[in-house]
Amino acid sequence: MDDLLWGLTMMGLGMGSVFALLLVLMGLLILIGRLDTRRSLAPEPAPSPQAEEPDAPTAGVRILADGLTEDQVAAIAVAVVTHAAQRRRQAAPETRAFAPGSQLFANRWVSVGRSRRNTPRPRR
Amino acid sequence: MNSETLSQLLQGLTSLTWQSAVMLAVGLLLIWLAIKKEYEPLLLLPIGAGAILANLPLSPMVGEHGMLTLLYDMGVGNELFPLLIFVGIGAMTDFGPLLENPKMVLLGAAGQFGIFLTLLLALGLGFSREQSASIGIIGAIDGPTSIYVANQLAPELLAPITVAAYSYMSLVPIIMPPIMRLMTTAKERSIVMPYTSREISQRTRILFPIIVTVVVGVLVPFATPLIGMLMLGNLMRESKVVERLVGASSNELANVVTLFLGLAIGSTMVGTSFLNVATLMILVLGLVAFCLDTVMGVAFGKLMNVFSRGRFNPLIGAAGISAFPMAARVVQREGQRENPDNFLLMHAMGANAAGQVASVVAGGVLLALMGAA
Repeated sequence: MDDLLWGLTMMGLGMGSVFALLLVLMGLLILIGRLDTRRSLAPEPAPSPQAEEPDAPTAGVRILADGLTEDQVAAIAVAVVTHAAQRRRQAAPETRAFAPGSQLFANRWVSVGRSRRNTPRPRR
Repeated sequence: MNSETLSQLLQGLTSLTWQSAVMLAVGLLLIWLAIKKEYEPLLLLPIGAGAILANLPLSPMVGEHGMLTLLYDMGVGNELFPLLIFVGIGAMTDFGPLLENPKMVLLGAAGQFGIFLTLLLALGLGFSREQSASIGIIGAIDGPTSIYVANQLAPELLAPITVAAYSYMSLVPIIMPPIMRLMTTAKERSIVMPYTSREISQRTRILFPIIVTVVVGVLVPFATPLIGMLMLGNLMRESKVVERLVGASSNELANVVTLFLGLAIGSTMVGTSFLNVATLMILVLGLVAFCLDTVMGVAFGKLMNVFSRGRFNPLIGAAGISAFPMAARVVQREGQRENPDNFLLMHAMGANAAGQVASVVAGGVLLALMGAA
């Protein structure tokens, strides 16, 4: 009887503690999530009047391309850079940007090897 | 050749006892399960090999200078190996689905009810309080946590508890579905839960392991080694600056330690101490713990279904146990069995990741309560 009472007490205390702890954790996670969302939704600071002046000198290089807006040029530049990075990840050892055996960006030969290793051989 | 020489030559054969013969068969069974059925082969194969090596007559592998005993003293007796495995698990686990939906943490907590219900059952069967708590921890459905807690409270039961924990973990796809179907209606199982992926910033991903370690470490100091190592692995993964360490932790370190751990656990399965009624009862109680966890998880899922006015699929509750990521896959399969267009995997992964954290917390709470008792 003593043992049963002790067991019931353990269950009450144990599960109560686990739930309480995880509730605290949940609260903290929700809080971090909200702060994170707020930060990402925060409006961009308004441009300063100086920047709007048409004749103000700009520090960066201005790209002029026929029929393309600056946003389109930027998008193309990002795409080209991303593609180049992807090619580098998959490239031969002498040019690749990541260490051999990389889990995140394995080159194509390593990927093929891994998939073959994980595929069971057909039984004869 | 005199009789003494002959007896020395046949020493191995004459020292073979029925207990060691049975344990050799058990070792072979574990190896067969690992190879043929692919039940947790990474651990069952070394455990089986360890059991065979330890039960061979006059085995020099166990004993004062035996290699297996050395491995045991080196990493199991002082709880080093389970903690190192936790670094690897942390490095392999993506807590993103949990961060996207923190409410899933509650399901992880509900999945730990089996620990305390099994503890009650073990007490009823005549086990001591420390032994009952160690048997109950099988309900955490987390191998390293079971080893860590059992080794502190009842080291004499470590072998059967480890074997039960890992064997049943591999049987999750067989044990869980009938219980899930029994406890839910077809209508409940086919509830579709839309999933809207929310981008989690790297800042949040890095803050998560730090906050969890500090909060759990301050509130339950007994859980610090477990949660600290788990979160260290995860911090390395999410920081994205130590890819080599992440790779080493999740591959080389985890593999080497798993081999050593399996062999060391197998070496404790010596026939004379392993073959008894208590072992059989632990194996049965382990199965009960798994079933109770699933029952309580689904029951909590049904409660959430009520609170959400029927929008929550109670199957997800079953993923609150710690068998990561098998439990989530089983939930997905059962959901799609009822409704092929249902896609519960990401919700289930959130609950499953919560179960991973909750099982460690439950282990720490159990140790704290036993320490205070």
